[in-house]
Amino acid sequence: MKNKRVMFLTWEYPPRNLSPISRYCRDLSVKISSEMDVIVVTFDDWKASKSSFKMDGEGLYIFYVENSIKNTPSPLMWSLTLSSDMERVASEVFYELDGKVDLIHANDWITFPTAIALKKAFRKPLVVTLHSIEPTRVAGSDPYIEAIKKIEWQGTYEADRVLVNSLWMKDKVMQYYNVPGAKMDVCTPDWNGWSADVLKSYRRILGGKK
Amino acid sequence: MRILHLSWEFPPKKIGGLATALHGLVGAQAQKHEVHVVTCGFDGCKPYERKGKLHIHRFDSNIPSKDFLSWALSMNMYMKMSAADVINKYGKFDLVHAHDWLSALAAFFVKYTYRVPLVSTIHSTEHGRRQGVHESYQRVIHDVESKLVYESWRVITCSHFMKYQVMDVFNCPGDKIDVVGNGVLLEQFTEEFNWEEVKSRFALPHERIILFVGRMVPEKGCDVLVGAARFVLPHHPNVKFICVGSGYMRDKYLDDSRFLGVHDKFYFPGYIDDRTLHALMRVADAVVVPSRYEPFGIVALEAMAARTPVVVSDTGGLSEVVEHDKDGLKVWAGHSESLAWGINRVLGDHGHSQWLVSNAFEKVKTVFNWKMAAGKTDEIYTRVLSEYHVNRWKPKIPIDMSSHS
Repeated sequence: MKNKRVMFLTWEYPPRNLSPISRYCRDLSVKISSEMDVIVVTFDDWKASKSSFKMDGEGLYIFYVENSIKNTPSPLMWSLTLSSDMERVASEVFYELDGKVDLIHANDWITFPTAIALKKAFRKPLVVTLHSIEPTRVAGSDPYIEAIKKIEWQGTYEADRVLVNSLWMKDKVMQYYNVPGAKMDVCTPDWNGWSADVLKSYRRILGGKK
Repeated sequence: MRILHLSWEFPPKKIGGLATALHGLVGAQAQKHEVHVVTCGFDGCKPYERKGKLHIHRFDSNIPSKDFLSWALSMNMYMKMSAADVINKYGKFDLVHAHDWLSALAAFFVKYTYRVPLVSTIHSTEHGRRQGVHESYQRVIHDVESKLVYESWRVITCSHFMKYQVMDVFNCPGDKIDVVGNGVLLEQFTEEFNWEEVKSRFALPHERIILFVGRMVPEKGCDVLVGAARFVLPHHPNVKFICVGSGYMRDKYLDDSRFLGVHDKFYFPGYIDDRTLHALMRVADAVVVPSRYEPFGIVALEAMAARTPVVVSDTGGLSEVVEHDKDGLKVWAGHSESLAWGINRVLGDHGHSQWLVSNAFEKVKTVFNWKMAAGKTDEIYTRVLSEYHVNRWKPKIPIDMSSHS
């Protein structure tokens, strides 16, 4: 996996820390960066105001993005408008690297609008991690919840592989979004073999030694 | 040249004037260039249509949403996917052309990821539609519009009025903006139809028709016409006011006409189809456009093409389309008595109004046609491309089209 590059899309990364996704992305990106180049594109308006880029050790590059549309009334609108700025930064990196990005890895629905668009434009394989899904977070249904479900479903549909953190989550994703089990991998975080599991999943798409 | 237009509406789906304007423009452009339009689908639509060099791609825009803004932003996610599919299938596009904020996010995507220069047309602004930006819902729309203006290589507006508004509310430098007027398709107004039959559906045989066409919203000023009736009827009692269009203020205007005791002279048929509308425009004795805010005023142009005298309010793009007492009458915006003066003059002086009509028709033939608008747009495209080709931003490598499906 040397000389391969993965582009990590997330909406938070330390020092921002609102949900476990932040630590998940941090731990995983550090672990994987010993095996392959990791480019993290994350929302962080405070960091972005200081510097758009940070090199964090060998093979780990972090890019901070700010949402240029302010005052969005809902997280859904925030996600959809943020995707423009994510796409801009991701594209700048992509062109700077002469298109040598091998894989896009997106975390949760907030980054899916960006990830799906980039997958199509860059013509690169897409891996998504579902940390949780809308039907397990909220009960009931209204147009707002349905809109998020639709984005989550679209992400699993467009993805080449879908990662989940537990067998329970795999079951739920299969139940609600009809994702074939063979397309999913369970990669339990905080376990010694975690990054090896994720890399194994990457290899299924990129080829190379198992 | 291969051009990608992004628009949320395109005929037969029509909500505002954008669909009409874009239809005219791409029709003329497709004579010379390969033109693709990516637009929202609707129930029963054809997902792909081709007319010569014009390709129309429609995607499913049925998205659950709790308000229009969420729908519009979500819709852009699918517009991006559709645009990417089109680009990946047909190869590199020379230009992407966005129309209004509703396709802005998709336009940013194409610009950033494919490094295609972006041109945008600002047909109207949120600031203008609502006379200011008052709350966060509007602020998002305003910010997206502002970003569209910022990200565009060049901005096109349909009138000088809109140019100054874009400069004013988005702080866009004036030398980045080009004015390209709209046109009108004259052949829409030459079709044969039964004159008496069309008239009988809207008015009595002896009545003279004053026609309003527009959405029933405050900025279109239908209430000004309702107010003007009291000043017209004493001079011309055999007049029928027909107000075509739908909108949330329709019931209010109906109530107004009852309150003023002129409701028997008003008819609000709601939305009517294009063919009937074009026939009705020719049957009418005058078309009024009493808008308070009007970026261009395509209705006035259509009336001129239909050889019907126009009375318009002296505001926005209308001020530029009509020359007072030469090819139409201009009256004060939002002023019923002034509008009534215009209507009375057109109805009372037949010779004069015929002179206005012939001047107006000459004007739409020579100045406001889509061939000229497409020609001007072409010049803008050529300028953008010449700048693009010497620019560092142009991608060094073409995106590898073979590696992954």
